[in-house]
Amino acid sequence: MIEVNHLSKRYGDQIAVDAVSFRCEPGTITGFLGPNGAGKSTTLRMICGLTPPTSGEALVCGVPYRSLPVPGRRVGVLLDASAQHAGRTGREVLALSAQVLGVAGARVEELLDLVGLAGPAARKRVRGFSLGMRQRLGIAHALLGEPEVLILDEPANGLDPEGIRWMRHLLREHAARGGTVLLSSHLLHEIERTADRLVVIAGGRVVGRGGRDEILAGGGDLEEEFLRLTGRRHVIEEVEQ
Amino acid sequence: MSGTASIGADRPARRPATGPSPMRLTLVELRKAADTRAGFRLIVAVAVLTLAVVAARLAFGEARTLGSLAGDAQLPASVLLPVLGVLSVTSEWSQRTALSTFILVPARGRVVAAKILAACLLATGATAVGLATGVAGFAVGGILDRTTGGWDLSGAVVAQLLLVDCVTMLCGTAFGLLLLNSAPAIVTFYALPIAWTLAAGLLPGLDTAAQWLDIGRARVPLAEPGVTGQEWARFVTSCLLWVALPAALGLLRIHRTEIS
Repeated sequence: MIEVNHLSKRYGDQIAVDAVSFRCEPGTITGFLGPNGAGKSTTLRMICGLTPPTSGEALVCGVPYRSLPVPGRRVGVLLDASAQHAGRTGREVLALSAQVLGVAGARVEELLDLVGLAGPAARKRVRGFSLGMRQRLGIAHALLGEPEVLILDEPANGLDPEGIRWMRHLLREHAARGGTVLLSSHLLHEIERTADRLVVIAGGRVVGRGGRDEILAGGGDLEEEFLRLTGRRHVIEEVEQ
Repeated sequence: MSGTASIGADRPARRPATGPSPMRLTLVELRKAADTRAGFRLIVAVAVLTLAVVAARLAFGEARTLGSLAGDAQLPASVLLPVLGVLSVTSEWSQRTALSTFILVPARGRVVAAKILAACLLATGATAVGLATGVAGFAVGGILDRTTGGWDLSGAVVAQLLLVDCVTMLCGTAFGLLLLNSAPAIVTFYALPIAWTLAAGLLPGLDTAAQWLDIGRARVPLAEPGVTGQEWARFVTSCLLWVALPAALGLLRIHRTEIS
């Protein structure tokens, strides 16, 4: 369960996130959408206690993220797959975090296998990983502590079609078991197939929120609806004229 | 990739109620110091150079006492090890691992405390290796008739060597905390003693101040037994300025900074 209440972030004169509110219920996958610079990543960082909000609050499992005794056991987070030490091997990255979480070493092997990085790939240093491999390592990292909540920023970036399909399956299964998923992506087609709830932000404000079917009730596809909600459709129309 | 995921949505019973212990976090930080090629090579280099320094001291110049060999054996560690102290903090920013570090342990002060403890343990290890190498060198040198004096090493000197090694290492860590950037932190760490020497040479009045504020000078008496009260006062003053102050400011900065 994630609860975001009137969350705002101001940098000097600029408002990056403006009174954003939404809820992610257990058993659902929420797609978090918005153009570049809309405030998605800032919102996700505030939820995870990495950026202090100017006002408002974000609760994960009923408390602020930083109040969770071992957050990695409740919340799996992937904010940036490239933010790993280039000189460590894939296995070492997971083993270090497993040690912090008090998770058995067998779990590391299980996850390397799950994300398709077992064998020689696990001994490779992250420097030599493709973006797709980094994403898989990041997903494995998020799953280490067997969390009930997943917060993933652009996890499908760099994954091949098979990987994207695998991830969709993984997230759906997680939600089916009562887990909560918050997922940001620019791959609208993918979000349309994966998420059952949507939160759309633009210019730091929520411009659309609800069930996927509700939002798409007009009969258009998600791309149309996204461009309409974020006020970008007129730009496209001007170009087409 | 296999299709099934072992996820925790259906297993809430396995959650621990308390966060990782300081001991666990310190072990993690020690592991981080050695699990990259750069860190591992630096540690190996310190060990090899320690051996080389003792061998060179025995091979050239006058006969050596146990105390001088044990002291000289600390040289490579005191010069190179602080780089590990700097990198243990700054690599979290340059490699952006701060993101996953603070996602797993949101209490940033606990991570910093673990880094400081790990730095002290590394310095202690280096002191022990230096002493062992010095003792072994003294034994070998005795056979080759390159030593003088007996097997006496004052416990106070050993404790002082350990203290100086820890403080030197922590000075590196403190600069890392303050600057959060590898190159400026390392350059500042090495340039500072040179700057003091230059400044004290140019401004005669500064010489008195340097006795209290230049950590490189204030620690010299600690290599011998019989450190006076004033010498301790100078050492502690310089430590407050170059270790405690930057560490405190750095901790404040880390608490306030946004991790991204």
